[in-house]
Amino acid sequence: MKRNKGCGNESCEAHKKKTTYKVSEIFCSKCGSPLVYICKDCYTQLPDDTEKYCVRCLGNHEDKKNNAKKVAGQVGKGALVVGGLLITYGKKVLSFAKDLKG
Amino acid sequence: MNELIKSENGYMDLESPVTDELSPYSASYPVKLLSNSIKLKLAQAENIVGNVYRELEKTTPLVAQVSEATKKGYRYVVDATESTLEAIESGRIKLTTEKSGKLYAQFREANGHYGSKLPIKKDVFAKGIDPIQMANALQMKALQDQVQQVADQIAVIDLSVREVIQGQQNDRIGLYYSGLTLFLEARNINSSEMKKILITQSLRALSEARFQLGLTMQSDIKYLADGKYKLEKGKNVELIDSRISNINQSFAFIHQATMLRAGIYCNEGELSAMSTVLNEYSYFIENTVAKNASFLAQCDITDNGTEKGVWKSRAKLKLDVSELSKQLNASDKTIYLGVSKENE
Repeated sequence: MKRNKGCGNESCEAHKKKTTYKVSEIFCSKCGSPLVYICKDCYTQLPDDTEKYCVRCLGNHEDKKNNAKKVAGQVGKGALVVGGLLITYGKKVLSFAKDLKG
Repeated sequence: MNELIKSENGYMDLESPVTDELSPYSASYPVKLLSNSIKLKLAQAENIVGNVYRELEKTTPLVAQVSEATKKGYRYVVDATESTLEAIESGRIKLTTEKSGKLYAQFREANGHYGSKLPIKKDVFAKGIDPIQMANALQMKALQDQVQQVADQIAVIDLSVREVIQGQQNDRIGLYYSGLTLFLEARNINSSEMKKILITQSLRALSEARFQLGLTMQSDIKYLADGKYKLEKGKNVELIDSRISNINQSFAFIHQATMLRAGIYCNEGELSAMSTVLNEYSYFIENTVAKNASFLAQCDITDNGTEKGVWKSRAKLKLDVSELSKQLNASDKTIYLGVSKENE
């Protein structure tokens, strides 16, 4: 998984602008401070390169996934209901339409 | 950084004058109490040294100078017979305070060992200077720099907790306010016995608040570290934020309760107890905060995980009270004296 590095010096312009660096880079190009691993979303400093996101942002991603699944589930249910209604009432609707036409 | 902290939190600058009374329910009150108590003790130490010097100059014009006594800047007299004193031509006298509180002097003999203990005469000084008080005061003065360092470190944390304090309520926080209120009431009581009882109860309430909140905080940190918030789908962030809010609140009141206990002990002249409280707080910071600082910084939306962030700056508080504690708690307080030929 691709990691990000950033400047850990709070007074550096790169830190304020949340400038990201490649993992291969070691020092900040603005202030020369050693680069640190950061969260891809919020620029929070991470202790090592095991994670791409901080705990909170990772939780946020999980929440979005779970909420998306819920919504998909709801939509699926809704589609089933509509489909069921069509099947139940579909013939009546068709015959009614025929009557109207006829 | 230190200058900035001092200007933002002038209460912990021990060189500044004693501050006027703040509202006891202000978030700054505990650290202000501690700061004022320390400043007053340092001022008393200064006065006592001055008084001892002045008394000795008046009562003992002929004083044998010993280099250590000169360095310490004070002199004292031993309750010994004139012949004992006359027998001593020069040399060193060790002043010892035992745990019982009694003060003795021991002379160094020819073989280099210290001889039998001689009781110190308290009423030598016309103004009734208590020798134990003097020993404590001199020690306080000698430890002034260390005390200032401790104060500087406390100031860093104190700033970050004040905003969290406002408007928080639960039963453990209620214990803290109970302790605070009892202390305030004790200050206004005339009966010394009742005062002592109330102060004892206050210290107990504060201690209970501190440890209950400590356990709550550890439990919340464990909840987050074990990832139990993941069990509830779709509510990870909400649960993380809620627990972090609890942790911040617990920490803030742990800090307040600790400062207030240390301030009360210092106010009562119990410097060893004060250093014990600060030592315990330092231990708590090391084991609960410092170990989890990186993790908590990731969970806390207000923290960016840098060294100046909330959690890492708290983790740095290693109140270097170990040296202070050692010196204050030592049963032997050694002060080198000069020999006086006039002991009355």
